[in-house]
Amino acid sequence: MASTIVSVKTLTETKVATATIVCFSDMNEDSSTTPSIVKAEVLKEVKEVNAVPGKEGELIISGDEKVFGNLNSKGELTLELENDDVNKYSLNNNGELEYEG
Amino acid sequence: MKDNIIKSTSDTLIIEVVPKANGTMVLNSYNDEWKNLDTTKYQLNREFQIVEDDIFSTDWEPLTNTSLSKYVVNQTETVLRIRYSLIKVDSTATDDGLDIQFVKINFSGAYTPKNIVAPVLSKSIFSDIAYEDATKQLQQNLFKKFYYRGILPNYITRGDNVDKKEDEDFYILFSTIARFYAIIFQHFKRFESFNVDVDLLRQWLVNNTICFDESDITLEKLQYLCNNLLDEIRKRGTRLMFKYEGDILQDGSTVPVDGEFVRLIRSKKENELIYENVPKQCVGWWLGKSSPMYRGVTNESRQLNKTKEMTEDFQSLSNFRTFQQGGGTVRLEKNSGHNCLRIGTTTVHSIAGLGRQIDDTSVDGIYTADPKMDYEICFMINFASIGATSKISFGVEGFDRLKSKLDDPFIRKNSDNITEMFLTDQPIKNNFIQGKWYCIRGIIHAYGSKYTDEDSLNINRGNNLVFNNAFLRYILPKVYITGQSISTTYIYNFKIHPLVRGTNIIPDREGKQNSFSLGFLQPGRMFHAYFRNNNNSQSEAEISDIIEKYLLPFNSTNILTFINNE
Repeated sequence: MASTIVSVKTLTETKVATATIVCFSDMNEDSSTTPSIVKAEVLKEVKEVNAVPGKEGELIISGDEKVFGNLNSKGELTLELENDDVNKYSLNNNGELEYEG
Repeated sequence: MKDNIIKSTSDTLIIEVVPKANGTMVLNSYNDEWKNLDTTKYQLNREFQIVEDDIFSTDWEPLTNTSLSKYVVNQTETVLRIRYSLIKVDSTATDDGLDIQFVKINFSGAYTPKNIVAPVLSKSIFSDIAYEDATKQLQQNLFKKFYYRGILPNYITRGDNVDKKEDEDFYILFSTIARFYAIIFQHFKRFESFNVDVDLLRQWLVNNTICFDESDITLEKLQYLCNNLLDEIRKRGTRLMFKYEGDILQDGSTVPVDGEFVRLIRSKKENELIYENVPKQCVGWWLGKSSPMYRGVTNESRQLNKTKEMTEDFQSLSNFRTFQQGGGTVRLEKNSGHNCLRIGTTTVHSIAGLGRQIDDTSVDGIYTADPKMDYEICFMINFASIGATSKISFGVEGFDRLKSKLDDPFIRKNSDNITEMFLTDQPIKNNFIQGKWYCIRGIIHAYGSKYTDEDSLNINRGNNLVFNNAFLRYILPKVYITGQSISTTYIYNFKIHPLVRGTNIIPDREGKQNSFSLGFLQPGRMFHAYFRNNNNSQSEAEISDIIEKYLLPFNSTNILTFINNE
């Protein structure tokens, strides 16, 4: 009887009085668990994502890295990921972050 | 290979859901998603347990909305463990080719935020790591060591049934102790990676009184300053603290970071920063050179000169922008004991001299200037042979921060018209004596100076100028001879420097002017610096105090002229 602990990532979102938890399998065929960035969202309302409070209009990036990048003085965000290839990330015409898997 | 696949009915998958929230949750519904699950043949058996602190767990029970809602999920300690196994519904179903994949599971429920009020902790040095995941994990690890045997004596009863309620007192006391040790340990663990911790490097430099822009500094520069701390202190009191990153030193090496003075005032390359040890002949009484009440700066203050050559004579043409067109020529030649710039014109239409041609777009050799300061451009000139049609022009171009030429850099003192010329096509014949040396001075007054009556240059011709554009950052003077006849002109002692001690001599529109004389004191050493201060996080008094205390020698009398926008 094989018992396997599945590799997962969990995203917890809490608003004023409600909470939603999404837990999904993250392992690929090659046993890697990329992408490191799970969600990048410009908030439309006040909420907390994985215990990080965010206001309307703020960009919240969720994933399993400690630091995702840095902002320069011009407000440009440069991704810096320890466990993933930043070149696989891109922005589409709608401004959404895409990952080339 | 993926690990979320059930390949046989004897397989079980365990999902560990680790929620993160600043409060407590009561989950009252769930739904999960699977791939390739044929519900006519197979059914999933769903069970769950709540695990707290990696030690205390409830029994496995069926996962339903009702059973979920019995528990309060506290993010600091709780993990939801879901166990899936497969049950055959159709007895004819086999395990061959089974490939049922777990995709995701969602939960929703009520949330109660919890504000942790710990004012002492929040104001302590531990505030930023007290609630981190790594600290929590360490706390759990330490608590396990307390809970199980090996460290605490057995007469402190616990662990008979591994039940949190039964061991509640033990849990409250020793989890707190574990948290305390975890916080201290995590805090000091930072020092293992001191060289890559921006906050620690920054604090260490501040503690060692090293000046830098704390808001803008990169990790690489912090590392450089920390690794070369003593060298940075050695540079104090020397020219090296005025160097910019990228400057080439006399030994050919490149300056790796801005000097400390530059960092303190947040100076950029386009900002004004000039300084001098005031020559003794410029202080107090010195016949022919200075008097105590004189507020001006003379050519004796060689270090305040902005051109590349500090001597009266020209050393090399490559240190200046020159141009020649048509029959015009420019070269160095000795005259009257000086190595002069010789400008020659011929019978072919000629134009030659210092500066750049009208259609030349290159901005090499331009000089930084601050529009809130008065400047003087002066030179000695001798019209050794005067052509019938020879004319002299003397002006200055202005450029912005990006080195783009400005259309309105200067205006006449009476605000009559925008011009960049001190002297425009002034005929030389009948206006100047052949073979005589003249000193010509063009003055540019600070932006915002009160408009006054027009005055001429010191040669009774032409006009002085006023900065007309607050965005000006660079200037390039031009002195040239035009004509269609043979003429020879010599120039030497070409200098650009501040006009006065202080920033301006003509009051601005609010009546302020701050020029001053060096007075009757004659200290052994006097230092004077003019600079644009971009440091908005410290007052002028604080900056002056830092400069006096740390950057300049104690045996020097220092004058610091701040160039401000007001």
